[in-house]
Amino acid sequence: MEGFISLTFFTVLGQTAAGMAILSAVFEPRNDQQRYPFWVIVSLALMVLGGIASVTHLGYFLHSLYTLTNPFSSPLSQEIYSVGLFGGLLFLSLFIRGLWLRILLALSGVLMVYVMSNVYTIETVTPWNSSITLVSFFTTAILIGAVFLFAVDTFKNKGNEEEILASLTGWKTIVIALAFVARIVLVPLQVIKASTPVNTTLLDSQLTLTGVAVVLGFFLIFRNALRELNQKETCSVPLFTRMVILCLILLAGELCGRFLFFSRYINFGM
Amino acid sequence: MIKNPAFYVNSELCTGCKCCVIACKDKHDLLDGVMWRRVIEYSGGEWLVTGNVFEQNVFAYYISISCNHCENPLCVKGCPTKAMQKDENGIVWVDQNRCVGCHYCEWNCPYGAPQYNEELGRMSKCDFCRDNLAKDEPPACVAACPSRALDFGGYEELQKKYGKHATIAPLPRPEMTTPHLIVEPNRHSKPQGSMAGTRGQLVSNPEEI
Amino acid sequence: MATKNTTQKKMDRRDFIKGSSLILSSMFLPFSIEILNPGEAPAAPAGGNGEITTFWNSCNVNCGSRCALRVHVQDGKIIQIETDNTGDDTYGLHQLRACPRGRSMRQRIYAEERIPYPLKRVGKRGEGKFERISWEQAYTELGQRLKKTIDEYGNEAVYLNYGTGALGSTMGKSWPPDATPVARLMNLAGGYLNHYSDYSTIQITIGMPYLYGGSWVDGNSLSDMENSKLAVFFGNNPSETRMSGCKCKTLQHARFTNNTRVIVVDPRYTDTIVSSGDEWIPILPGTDTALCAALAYVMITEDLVDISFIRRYTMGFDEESLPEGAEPGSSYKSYILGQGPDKTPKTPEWAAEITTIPVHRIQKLAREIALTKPCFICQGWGPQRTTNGENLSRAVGMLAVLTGNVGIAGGNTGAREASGQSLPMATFPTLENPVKTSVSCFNWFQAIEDHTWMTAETAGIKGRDRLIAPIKFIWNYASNCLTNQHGGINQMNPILQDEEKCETILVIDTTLTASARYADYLLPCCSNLEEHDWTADGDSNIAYVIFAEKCIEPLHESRGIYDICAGIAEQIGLKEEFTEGRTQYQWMEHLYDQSKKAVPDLPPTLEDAFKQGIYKKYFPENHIAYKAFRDDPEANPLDTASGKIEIYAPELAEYAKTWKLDKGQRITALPEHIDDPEGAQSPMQKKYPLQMVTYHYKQRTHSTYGNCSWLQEVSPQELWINPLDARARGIKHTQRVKVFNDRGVTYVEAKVTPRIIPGVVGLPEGAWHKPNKKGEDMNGCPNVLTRLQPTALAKGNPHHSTLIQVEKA
Repeated sequence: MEGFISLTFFTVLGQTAAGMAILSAVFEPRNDQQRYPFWVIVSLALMVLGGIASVTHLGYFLHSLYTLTNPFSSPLSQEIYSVGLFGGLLFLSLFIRGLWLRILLALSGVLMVYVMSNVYTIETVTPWNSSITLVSFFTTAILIGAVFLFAVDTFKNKGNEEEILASLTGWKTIVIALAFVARIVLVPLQVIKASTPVNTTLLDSQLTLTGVAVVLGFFLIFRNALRELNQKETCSVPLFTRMVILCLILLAGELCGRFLFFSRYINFGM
Repeated sequence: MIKNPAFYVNSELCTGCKCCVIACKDKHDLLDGVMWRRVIEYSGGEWLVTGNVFEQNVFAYYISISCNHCENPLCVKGCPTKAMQKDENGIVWVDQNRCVGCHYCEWNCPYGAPQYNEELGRMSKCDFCRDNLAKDEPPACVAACPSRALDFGGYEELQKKYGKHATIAPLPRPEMTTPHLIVEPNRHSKPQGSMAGTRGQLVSNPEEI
Repeated sequence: MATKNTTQKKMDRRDFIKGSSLILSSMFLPFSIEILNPGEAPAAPAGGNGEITTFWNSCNVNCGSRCALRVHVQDGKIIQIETDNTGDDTYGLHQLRACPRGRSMRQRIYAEERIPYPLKRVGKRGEGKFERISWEQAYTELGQRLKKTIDEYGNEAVYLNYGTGALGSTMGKSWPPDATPVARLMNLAGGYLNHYSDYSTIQITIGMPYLYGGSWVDGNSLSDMENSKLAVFFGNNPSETRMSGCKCKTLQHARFTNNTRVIVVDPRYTDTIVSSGDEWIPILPGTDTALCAALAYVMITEDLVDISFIRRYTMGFDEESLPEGAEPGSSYKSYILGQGPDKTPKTPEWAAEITTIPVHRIQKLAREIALTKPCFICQGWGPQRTTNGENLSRAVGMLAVLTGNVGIAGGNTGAREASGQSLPMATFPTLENPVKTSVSCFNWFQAIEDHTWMTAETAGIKGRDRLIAPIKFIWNYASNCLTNQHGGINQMNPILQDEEKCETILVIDTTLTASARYADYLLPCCSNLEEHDWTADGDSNIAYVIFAEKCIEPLHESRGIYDICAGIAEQIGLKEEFTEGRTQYQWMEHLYDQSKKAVPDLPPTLEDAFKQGIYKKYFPENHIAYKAFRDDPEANPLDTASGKIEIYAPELAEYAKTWKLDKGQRITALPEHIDDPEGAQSPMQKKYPLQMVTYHYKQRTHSTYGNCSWLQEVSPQELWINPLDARARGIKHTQRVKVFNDRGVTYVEAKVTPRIIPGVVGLPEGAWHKPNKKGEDMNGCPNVLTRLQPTALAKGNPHHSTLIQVEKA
């Protein structure tokens, strides 16, 4: 498996952090009253976890500093720099306020996701080699970025069910829904792109099942919440819990999907 | 020291015995699972059964591949630490003092040359038996081949000696990395990109490489 | 040179202590041996960073050739194996480059399966419990047992089993039995029960001489193919069965000097076809007899036979040339045209149904063979390893006879190519066996259970008209042929385990094998890299001697077979006679002096010879079999009753009447096609629809090297199965499958490939038998599926006539 699990966590968590920064800058650029904004802490935590995951992918991390020596040629070296840039700006965002920082942070997030997709878009690995990879990485960023921002709100509103319900009608829900639709459209495209004469059946079915599970889970919980919103029914499980589960389902779906994407690795006739 | 050393593989003579693979493993003490040279089989064809009588158009041949010390090595281009490098004689080699074992060279190489060494945690690959070349001796694989199917030399001299040959399946497009490799086709060889093999474009013996 | 230690996977012995006993196990062993009182075993040297010394040595296994190894030793440990790099590789004095098996010698020498010290069975035979004993105790007890057996049952109760693990050695030779140090000892002690022929060739060795006479049918040298316009290989596969650098180069010389066209008739698209075959004609195994009959039909009906050759050199072709006493209608021509007793013309239509080869191809092939002169017709040893292989071998020979290709340059007899030139080096004198009796190499096991029914007519006994003693003592030196390489493993198990029947099984080997499970005494001998010796071999135009210098000390407590035999000889009072006062090395010096008389330009002394390593000689002339006979048949008759090629064999007509055969078995005077009860179109195929061939595989030499991880990596044990058969069973490439019939079960990975004919699967022989608790083999060992029924005439192993079924595991 060559450490595809670690890469799965690294890319998904890193893209989530970037997505949170991008969406924050787009929809709530001036919402910077707090010191140590909660979403920045969460985003930083994701970057740290992702960073640890990426290091476990290395066979010999003691030479890690050398990865900075080839940025003009190696997409991987470029990735390290872009991760450093974004992470550094994110860290600064804990202490420094200002629109310029927010915008810079968002742009560096976009750059980081782009450079990440560049790493995998190589001619030798056909299933990865298309613009679908780029679109898919951004979809993850936006989808799970929005999901985590939504989760941050939910945590802030813990105990206050009306606030949680109110936030369901906000921009985050719309973004999640749209990004989710994009994800569903991308899945079959990826399956077709990645088609090779070997191993397709297993991976195809895994992808399909994951997608079905995610859609079902999402649908059930979301529908439940909407009904509650319209006061048509109440549910025994607290709204807070259901929202958190919804977020986890979407995150799990992305992680599974990403892992299956990496598992498509095929090179030199293997 | 030869400039731009290259391998010549005669797929007409190669019987797929894998002596080259073993000789390399023995010389360099390679772990199980690490193969600096690999012998690939490309076979295909179909059977037509009419009652008790069969017709067929089966073909099969082998190509022995290690590292092609390419002119435009994608492994070198993509290596984040510059551990993978092309030395002044044209040999592509990995510096164990810089490698982090990220596998990116392995992903970038269309021929499967970089191999991960579990014990070291770093990548390893054919270095054209540089120590042998320095003593004017052939690489282990070339000296070993019982079918005399392998040869080596400077890429230009080798081209003059054997001529240029079209790339055969299941090798990748040579435009990707411009490999310094000359493969003499087997009389049943299929052109590059052929889907006639048992696994389409892919090698027929993945479990052996 | 890079340091050798860091990246290498550890090859040390994987022992662990269980209570006070030692468990010897590894992933390759079929069973674990529990040794009750291990003590300290002398360890192998760990090596170091000192000076590197290089020795010449050889690989001595039963591969059909012989290669040179250049062995690099550092601080008492072998660190690398290279090969012949002398000269400029010109053909005739070309390099004896080792094949992948010989190049894996390091893994074989330092394998975990090396036997560390003498072991004696405790508990029941086959249980796997042993105790460590001293060499002295081993010698004493074995001397006593040998004496007791001879006193009670006579010398014919002592059997030297077939074993070719040390085939190339001179002082340590393991086969033929009468060339071994064991034979010398037994001959001094009154003799032993011998066996004739070998698992590789028994049907053709016994069967084909009924056509050409003699005790072994000669063939042209392979290099003579350079003079042929066409070569047709029936199941001959030198690229997988003669893999040495010496013989590869000969094949290339034969094929490419004049670009001789080669057609290969084989159930598999072999590696020979990859590099040396212009066309593949797939065929069901064992049906070459039918194909050859149809080819003959076309040649006869289209007037393509060389009738003047037939008139002058053969007997039995037509009714006029039949010998006295032969029934009318029993000539070859009558058989082919359907004018004989079976009233079946052997038309291409008839043969197409049996062989699967289309009618048009049979017709064209017949014309090609007959009209392309000279034509090199040969067969490998796969086709004859079937139920009626004796007739098959003669049937292929008939093609050479009908077309007059015998005894001429570029022709051949239809047998396998000649084995090659040799230098007249002295061999270790083993004296003469007072016992003349022999069983076949395959039906020996029947003499364990009950020898009383075994006569010349019932069991092919030679040298006597019946066996006079059961087998009570087996010498099993360098042999895995008690089970793994013999056949019917599950059926052999109770025979070998019965301690009342065979009373002593002595296994002498370097390595723990499946056969070692049945040892009463298990003695470690050293490998040929651990002693001095030499080996002589050759090919079409080259002969050579490789002087093998001792590279490292014998591992653990292992000893050379010469010393082991001397030790036992001492116990039975024959030490002086056996050794003649010489050590092994002194014998070699003595034999070297004798060799120098026959080969004068050998190096001056034995020490010089070891330093030089290889001595080569070029033989420019190609060998032409029976040339003298062809040039003047009256002056140089063949060794047959009529002096001619006997298409109709009167002796076989006699045996057909007098021999007692199993149901379904037949002996025929002509090379007739006989339905195979366990082959193509047999009724048994309703239950077991696939025929299994157990071909020879490049991962191993039979079972030698079967424990080397490098070889397993590059050439894993796999079952070849055609995509049509695989798809019908839902089997995908590399999927694990269950292969079974009434005799046993084995599990192995499948290789789904169009390179094998539908209806046939290929499972290479030699995989190490590894039974689970249910007795099912987990390692793809085909001999759990083969039968113990010896063939009608040769009493040989019919292992390619085995029917099985395959399922997803």
